Amino acid sequence: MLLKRLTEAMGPSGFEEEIRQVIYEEIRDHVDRVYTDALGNLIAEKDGTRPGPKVMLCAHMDEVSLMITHIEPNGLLQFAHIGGIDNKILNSQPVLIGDSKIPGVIGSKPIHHQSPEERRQPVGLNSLRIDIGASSREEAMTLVEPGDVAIFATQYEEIGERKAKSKSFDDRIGCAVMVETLKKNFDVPTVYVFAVQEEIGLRGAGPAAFRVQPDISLVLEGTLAADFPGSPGHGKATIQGNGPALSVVDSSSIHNRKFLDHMVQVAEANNLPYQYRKTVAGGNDAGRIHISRAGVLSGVISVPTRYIHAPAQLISLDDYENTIALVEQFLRSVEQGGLGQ
Amino acid sequence: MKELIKRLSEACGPSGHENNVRDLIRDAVASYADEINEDVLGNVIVTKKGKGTDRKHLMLVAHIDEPGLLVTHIEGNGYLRVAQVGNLEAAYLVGQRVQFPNGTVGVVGTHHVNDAGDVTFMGLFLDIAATSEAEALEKVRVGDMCTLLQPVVELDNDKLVGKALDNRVGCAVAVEALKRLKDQEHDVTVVFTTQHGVGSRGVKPAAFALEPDFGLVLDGVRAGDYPGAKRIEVGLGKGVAVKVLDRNVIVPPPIKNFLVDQAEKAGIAYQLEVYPDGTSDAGAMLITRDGIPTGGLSLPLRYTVTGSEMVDLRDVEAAVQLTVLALQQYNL
Repeated sequence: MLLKRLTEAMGPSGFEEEIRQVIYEEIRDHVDRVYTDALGNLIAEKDGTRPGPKVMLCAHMDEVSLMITHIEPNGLLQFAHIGGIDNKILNSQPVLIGDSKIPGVIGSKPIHHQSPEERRQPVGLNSLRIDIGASSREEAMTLVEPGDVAIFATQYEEIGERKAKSKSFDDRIGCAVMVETLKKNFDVPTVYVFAVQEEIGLRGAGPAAFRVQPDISLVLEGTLAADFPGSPGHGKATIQGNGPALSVVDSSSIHNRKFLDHMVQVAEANNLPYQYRKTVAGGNDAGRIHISRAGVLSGVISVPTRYIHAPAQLISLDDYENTIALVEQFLRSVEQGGLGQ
Repeated sequence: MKELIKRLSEACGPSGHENNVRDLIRDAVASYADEINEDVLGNVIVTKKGKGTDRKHLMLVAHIDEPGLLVTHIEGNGYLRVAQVGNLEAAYLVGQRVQFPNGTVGVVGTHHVNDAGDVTFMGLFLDIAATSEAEALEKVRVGDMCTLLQPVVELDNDKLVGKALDNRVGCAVAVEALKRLKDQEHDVTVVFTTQHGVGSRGVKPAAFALEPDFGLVLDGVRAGDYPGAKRIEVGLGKGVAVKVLDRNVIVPPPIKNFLVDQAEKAGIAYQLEVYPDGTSDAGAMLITRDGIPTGGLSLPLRYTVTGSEMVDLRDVEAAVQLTVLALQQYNL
C-alpha cells in the first residue's frame, strides 16, 4: 500500500535517503529519466509528445523530526527539533532513532513529581529526554550517537469512515499524489521533484526549480486542517473532507489570481470538490519556485491534514483521491493550452 | 507631478494584486518608453535605449505595491474576515475605510476590546454593507485584497499627505525621470516592481532576467523629525536621502559616494539614510546572480504605516534631479 510505504519511511530534513529510495522504487518504471541532484532532490522527468509548456510538480520528501544532541551519563538522550514541532505533543511518544531504527520513548518527570510551578509552565526541551533503555552513556553509545535523527514510530492505519492515520502526511501525501500522477501520460513535458529540506526553510525546491526551468509549477502539500472545536469560522484554515485546498496567500507566496481561478474552473468543470486555504500562515516550496530565475507561474494544491507536524496525523482518503483527480485534470487543461501566456 | 502622485497614491495596489497601479503606470510612461513589458510576477518593465557606443545597462527600480488586507472568510451575515499582507498594524486599521480594486468600499471594525493594544487581526472584520454571504459574494471573493481608502490632501504648497506614498512617490519619481531622460548614453530599464512588501519577490526575478550592470532603487524612508519618533537622521524638506544602509543592504561605498558626488556637484539637496529597520528592494537586487552593484535613493516620509504619510515635494524634485543625473553620468 503506497500511503503506508511512503508515510512510514524515514526522512528527516537533510536525511532523506530512505524515503528517497522508497520513492525511487515506486517511480523508476514509470518515467523517462530519474536522478538525484546535489542537495538530494529526486527529480523524475517525462518528456510527453510536445515541447511545452514544461510543468514542474513538487512535493517534499522530508518530515519534521528530532536530532540527538547529547547523551547523558545516565544513558538518556537530549534532542533538538528538525522543523517546527510543538513540545506539548512530544511527551511519551515512541520514536525510532537512526538508520537501524533503535526504538526509544520520549519521557519527562511524571505529574506526581512536578511542583505546582512546573505544572503551569510550558514543556521545554530541557525537561524532555529520549529513553532507549540504556543505563549508561557507554551503553547508549553502542546504539546511538549525537547527530542521529529520530522519527515518530507511528504506523499507518485506516480508521473510521475513509480516514487514514500516520506520521508525515505532511508531505508524503503530496509525494503519493505525485507518484499516482506520474503513472499517467500527458502530452506536455512533466517534471516531478521530490524535494528535500522543506521543513527547515524551503531549501531544496529553489535549486531544483533553477535546474528544471519550468514554465508552470504546481506544488502538492499536506496543509493544516484547523477544523477543531474552538476554532472560529474564520480560523478554520481548511476543513477535512471538503476537498483539495487551493492556496491563496501564505507566508511564502501570494498566488497568481489567474492561476487560482484556473484551478477553480478545472475543479468545477470536472465536478471535483475544492476549498480555499483560508489562512496566510505557513509557507511551502512554491515560495522558492515562483521567484526562481525570471519567475514561474505557480500554484499549490493541498490535502487538509489534521494534527499536522504531530506524531499521528489524520487525512481523508476522499480528499486524497479528489486531489489526485484535480491534479490530473489540471494537467489535462494544460495539455489543452490552459494558462498559456 | 503632483497630479501623478495623487493618482498613484489613491489607486488600490496591494502586494500581489497590483493591477490598478500597473495600468496607471503603463499609461504614465507610454510616451517616454521604447518598450513596455510585463513578466510573470507582474513587474512593469520599461526600456529606454541609450545613444552611446559603449553602453551599460542601468536598472531603475520602484515598487508599486502597498500593504493590504486579504479576505480569508465570508461570514453568513455578510461580514468579511481578513488577514494582513505586508506591514500593517491592526490597531491603526480600526475605523479606516478600505477599497477593493473593483471599487467596493468597506469599513474596518473590531471585536470589542478594553485596550486598543489588544486589537488583533483575528478580531478585525470588514463591513461592506452586505447582509448575507450571498450578497457579499456579489462584490468580493475569498482571496481578494483591499487597501486603505484615503484621498491625497495638500497641506501647503509642498506637503502632501495620503496613503501608500511609500512608494507611489518613488514611482512618480521614476516616471518623471523617464520623461526628463533624453539622449542618455546608457540603456535604461525602469522596473516598477511588485510584492516588495512581502520580501522583494518582484525585484528578484526581474533583476535575474535583466542582468543589469547597475541598479538604483527608489523607495520611501521613514523620517525622524516628529515628536517622539524613533531616531533616524532623515527629515522632510532636507532633500533626497542617499541610502547608506538598511535592514537588507549595505550600499557599496563607491556607489554611495558616486551619488553623493553627483548631488554635491549639481547642488541638489541630499541627506544620508542610515536606517537599520528600513527595507527596500536594494538588498535583494545586490545579491542577484553574481551580484549587481546597487544603490538607493529614498523619499523621506512621516507617519509611515498609518495611512497618512506625509511627503515634501521639494524632496521629490531633488530625487528626480539626482536620479536623472545618476543615470546620465553613470561611470562606475
